Amino acid sequence: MNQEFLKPRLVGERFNKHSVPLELLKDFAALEEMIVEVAKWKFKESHPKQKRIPSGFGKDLSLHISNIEDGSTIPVIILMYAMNCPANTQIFDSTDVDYFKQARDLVIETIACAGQSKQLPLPAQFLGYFDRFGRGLRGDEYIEFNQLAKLTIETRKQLIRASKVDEWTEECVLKGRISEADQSRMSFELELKNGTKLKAPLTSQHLDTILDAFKDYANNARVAVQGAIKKDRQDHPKSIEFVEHITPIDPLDVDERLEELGKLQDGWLDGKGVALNRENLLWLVKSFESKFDADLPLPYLYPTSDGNIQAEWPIGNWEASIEISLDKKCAEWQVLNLKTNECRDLDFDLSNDRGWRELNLALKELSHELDV
Amino acid sequence: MNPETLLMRQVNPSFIQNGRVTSQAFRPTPKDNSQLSVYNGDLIAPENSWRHFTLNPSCRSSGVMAVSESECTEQAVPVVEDAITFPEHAYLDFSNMDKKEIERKAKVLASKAHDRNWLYQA
Repeated sequence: MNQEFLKPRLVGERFNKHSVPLELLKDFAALEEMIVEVAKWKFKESHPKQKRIPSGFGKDLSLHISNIEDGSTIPVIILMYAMNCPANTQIFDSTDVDYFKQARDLVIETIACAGQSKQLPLPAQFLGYFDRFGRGLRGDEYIEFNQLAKLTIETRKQLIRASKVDEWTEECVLKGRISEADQSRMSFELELKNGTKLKAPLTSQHLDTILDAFKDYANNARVAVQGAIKKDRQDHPKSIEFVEHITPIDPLDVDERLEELGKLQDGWLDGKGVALNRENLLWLVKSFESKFDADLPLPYLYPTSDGNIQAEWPIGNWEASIEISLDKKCAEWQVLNLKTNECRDLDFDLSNDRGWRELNLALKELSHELDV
Repeated sequence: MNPETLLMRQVNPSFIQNGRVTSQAFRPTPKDNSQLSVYNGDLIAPENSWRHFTLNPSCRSSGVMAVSESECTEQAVPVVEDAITFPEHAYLDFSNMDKKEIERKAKVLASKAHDRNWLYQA
């Protein structure tokens, strides 16, 4: 009743555990739609005298993921006959299957051609499906169909540019302030750091978060919006098509602050400051995410003139700081009581969990002293 | 110069997060020869000091904060009037102090400056 149809390999960190993230299923739903439409087109090409495509074309066929194989992650996609087909029907009885296979091969060939900057075999009207197929890919992830056909973020962009669409969407996380919230139209506006304002649909599950951030606009309250953003052919963001998640950003969010500091260039401090190494900053972001106790207050983060980071915590009368050497992954801790002048100095090795535990403990002791 | 004289520091934009200024703004960098440059508040107004500082395109400042001469003396940080670099120039002398001691004194000075608030914001 069914047969193996496609075995694309998903490559990337998210797929290392041999599973398919649920959010990627909608990409495969778009692939199915594309294959059906291309199959119809191939049918029309083979039957030039026929005015219409038979109304039942492909109706009994559908694509399913039946299994996940190892090797990064390989979803096994099968072509399946509808349940209401006669029990003795064999899938290869259907002539539609041939067109589905031709469509599949053509889609794969098109991806391969895009990767090699060759002329694309699929007409432009079908390339718009790549707006949805591949949208869920992140960073350096890709879907491999064969050695030549790899759908990467870059290949997808080329395919969309070659299509007839003027706008296309991309899944991403955008950070900004809520400059407008309109409950009658159920929409809001996200203001990015560069001043760009993007309209977005407002749904009831996000209403409270959006209204809170809108009220706190003047205090620079920021949110992270995860969803699909519509872009024009010049790659400029135009609007937000749909929102999956909205999260308030802590005013001292480590990721955002270090991203900002990563943009500093040599000479940032009176012509002498050294730029911060981005790879090292990434290490620090990840370390704070995974090793810094979530109960503790986030630090204020500043660059140092020699390209390192100073983290500071004002806790009651205490002024605590660590100067983090990003290359050596070690830190000098100093805490001073501004009232009593009591001062303690310590060194932490932040290259391991123990050093982070010591930092957490030192901060907890200060918070505890504040409570007593 | 007298104990109330304000010694003004230009604050680099990256030394501010959410309105809070790092204590680094009140300590010399390793390249500063243990001398922390300040403007002598008896000789120049905060806004004019900012204008003077930012005339140099590589020097950026979000505004001016200050500590008084007496606050430096309390921390045993000598204040040196140095009209050589330019007439309103002075510096806090951190020489003969180790790194930890400089950091500690910078924390105290930064706290005093925070209490005084901005003298000028660009």
